[in-house]
Amino acid sequence: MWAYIVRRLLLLPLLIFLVTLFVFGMYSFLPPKMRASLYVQDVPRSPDAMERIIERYGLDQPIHIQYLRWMGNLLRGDFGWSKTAQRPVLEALAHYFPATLELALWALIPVIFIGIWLGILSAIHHNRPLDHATRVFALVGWSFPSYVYGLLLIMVFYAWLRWFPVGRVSQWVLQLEATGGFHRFTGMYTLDAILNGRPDVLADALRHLVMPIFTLAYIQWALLLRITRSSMLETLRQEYVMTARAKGLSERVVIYKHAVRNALIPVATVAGLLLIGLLNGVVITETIFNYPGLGRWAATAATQLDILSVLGFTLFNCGLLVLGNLFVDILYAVIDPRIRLE
Amino acid sequence: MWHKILGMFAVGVLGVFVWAQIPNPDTYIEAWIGDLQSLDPAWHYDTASATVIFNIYETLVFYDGEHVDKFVPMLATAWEVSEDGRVYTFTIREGVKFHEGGDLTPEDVVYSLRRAVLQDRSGGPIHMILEPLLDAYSIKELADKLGDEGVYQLVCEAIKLVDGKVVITLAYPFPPFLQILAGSWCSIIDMEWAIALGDWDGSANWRPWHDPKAEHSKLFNVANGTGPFKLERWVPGEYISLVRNENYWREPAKLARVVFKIVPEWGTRLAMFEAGDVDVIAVPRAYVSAMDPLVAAGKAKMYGPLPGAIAQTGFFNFRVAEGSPFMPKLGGVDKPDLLSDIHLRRAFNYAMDLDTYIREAWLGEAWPVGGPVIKGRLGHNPDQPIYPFDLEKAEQELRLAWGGEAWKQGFKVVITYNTGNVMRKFAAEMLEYYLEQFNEIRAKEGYTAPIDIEVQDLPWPTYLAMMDDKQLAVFFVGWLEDYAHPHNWVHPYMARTGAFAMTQNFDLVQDVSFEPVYATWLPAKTYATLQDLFDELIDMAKKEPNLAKAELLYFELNRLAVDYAINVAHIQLLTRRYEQPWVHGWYYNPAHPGTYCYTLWKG
Repeated sequence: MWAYIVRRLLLLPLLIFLVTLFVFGMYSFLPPKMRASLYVQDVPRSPDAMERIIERYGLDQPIHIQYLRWMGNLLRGDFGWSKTAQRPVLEALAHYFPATLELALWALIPVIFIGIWLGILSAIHHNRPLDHATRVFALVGWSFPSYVYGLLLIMVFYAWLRWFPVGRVSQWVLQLEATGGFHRFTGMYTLDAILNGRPDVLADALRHLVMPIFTLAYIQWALLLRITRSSMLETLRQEYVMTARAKGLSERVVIYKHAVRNALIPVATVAGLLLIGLLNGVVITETIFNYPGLGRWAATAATQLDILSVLGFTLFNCGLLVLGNLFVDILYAVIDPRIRLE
Repeated sequence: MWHKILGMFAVGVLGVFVWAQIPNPDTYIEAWIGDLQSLDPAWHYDTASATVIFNIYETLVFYDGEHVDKFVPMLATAWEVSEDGRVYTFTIREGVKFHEGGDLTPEDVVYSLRRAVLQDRSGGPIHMILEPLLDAYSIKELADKLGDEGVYQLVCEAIKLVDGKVVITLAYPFPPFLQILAGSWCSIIDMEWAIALGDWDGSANWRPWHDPKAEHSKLFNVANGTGPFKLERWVPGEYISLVRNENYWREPAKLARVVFKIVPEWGTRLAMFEAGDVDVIAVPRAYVSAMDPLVAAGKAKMYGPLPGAIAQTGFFNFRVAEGSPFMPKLGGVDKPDLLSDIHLRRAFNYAMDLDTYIREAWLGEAWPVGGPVIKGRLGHNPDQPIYPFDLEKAEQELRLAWGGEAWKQGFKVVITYNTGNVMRKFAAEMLEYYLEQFNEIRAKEGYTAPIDIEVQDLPWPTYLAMMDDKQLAVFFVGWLEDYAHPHNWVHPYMARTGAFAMTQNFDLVQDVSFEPVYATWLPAKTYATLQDLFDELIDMAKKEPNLAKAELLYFELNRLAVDYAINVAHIQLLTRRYEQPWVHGWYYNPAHPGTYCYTLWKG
């Protein structure tokens, strides 16, 4: 297994190199003036504005020179400046990632537990009204555009009822932070609130998390439900389950002690991938709930052709995907001893 | 320990269901679409940055209330202008302190203005000062000629301290100079503070601080002004907060705190407004109707429509650059100068149904303008006729274009707009629709080669780059005024070095006879090119100290722009402001980049 892990880790630099080459390659299709226009944004107001910007940012240099310069800086730990985050790319990643991580971790709780519970419920009531009802409920979430769904939540629970606000925290928390009354140790408000001993801040941060969590969960439930349901149905047909029933064990013991454990093996893989997906940033959810995480930043950077931010985010994603998949593989081998990593 | 943590967690979870607190009545919050670019007054050139900067920093003079052509003393208590209009002498206010505690001195003023000029970042605002001050567009251009030391001497001579007063000497008389000085790019900073941060030390060695990238400016994310608010915190992409300057030289502001939040999504902004979490939101024109019920229910106050300092215009390129994918054609053959024919341009103008365009595309929130100068500015002529929507006249002009060949042989023109701008697309498609209608009449006359108007969208970077390369034939763009003066309209639209005119090739129209209609003291004259005529009139107008005469010169320029049909569908946009009913004290000055918070209060 260790050889497998090392081999997978060794692939990481190669993967990163290929990805950066690909992104830079696409960038090279843009002539210098088009890239220069990203710096002026509006119509250039003086006659030599474009030429000066091209010269200032070295946009007329051959793409391989620009690439090598960027790679050289990268090796020195300088990922460049993010125009969209107004800070160095590494700092931007460090700034936005805790927000996304906080959202992902909190979202994962209802996503997994309710998704699996719905799947089990659906399987044990196979082809009965409860099965149909749970599937319809989850499929509606799957097929409903999260954009529309999120906005509906905002209109009802924020604009009308004023229960759950948007953003990460309320204005009073920001003021508390600005005046030194609240310190951010981890960048995750819920954890920092505990570390600061501020239950009021914790409550406020949780209120802000409710709607984005629910939006993410409702979308993901359908997937987990379907996988759990089909895995559970297959397990329930196994001979050892029939044996357990024949032994006269209660249905509850048969299902939760014997069937569920085995049925959850494929679900664990999906859950791991779901977490990786959430950590990549959830663009639409973060945007509509004005939640400043990785997804919102990356989307803004991509639309504004902020190439250094896009590259930084891509590298980060590469690492996350490789390590995340590796973790899922290991987890899979651990929970199912029949699987051997080679 | 765990019990304590679990206890806090339980309190937190229960608190989820507690209702939101009432917003702090001393805090004013605006929700913006995008973030600012820099807090360096000499670097920024966007309205978001300018809005923050003009609440933190101050200039020598400031606009008097709603007026764009009257000024009140700010950091200057008085000023004099020499008889020849070139020398401005400012007496600097005493007893003013910067936020960090430094005293304002005339040296700070001289340093701030010299620093701005020498910094002159690419694509930045300083070209506006350089034009009248040194008769140049960039410091780089001057340094190439004079060397670094020469430039330094020139700048020191133009901006200097004489007997405790700040004296600015222009290269030529330029009446709008006060408007430029009132802009946030001429904000006064604390010299000692800037130098301590590692900024330019005031010596002839200015090159290391010239043309910095945003993040390399020492003042990129810090601020120390004399204004009514101090910078508290800027979290890029999220918010910027300012707090009241308790030591302000005037009476301190009524608001204790001002927050500008970045909320790119419209639905979210609207919900925040409805929930009362923000006091003002940016409302894109397309969503104005969503605010109507709130206004009707008394849940929002609406100001407007107000005349905006922004126009939308179609531009004709008289000679499209070789190799352009949008090369015009006459009878199927490339004809780069197709649009240099005045009849063709007039036909386009007669075929533009401006009323419908404004009603449908701009929801009525615009008005047509005759010539570049917008309403509310010196030199706008309300009696200047514009082209009516008249298809008969459009047909007559088309029959005359290129000696009748355009009508007989047909032609092709590609009208471009930037992707996603549905209003510009509407205008382009309207021209396509009406001009191609003539093909039916032409077909009856036996002319089968069509008039082909193609509408093409381009991504913004491509659009700008191709415009700069003179590759676009007809293109729609907007202009947001830099300072409230007609020169800032006729220059981009008509001058050789103007942002749009430099892509239009007016030189192609030669032997131009000029007969003054308004500026009757001018002699009738023939100019080598249309561009020469425009440049001479623009030059005279910007240097004319007599406002009545200057106004007539601008009338003349507007008339020529319409007569020569250098544009199509030139409209001035209107604007609105929506705020919570509890916000008071706002007034509209189109020269302000955003909300001036000093006069506001909540209650």
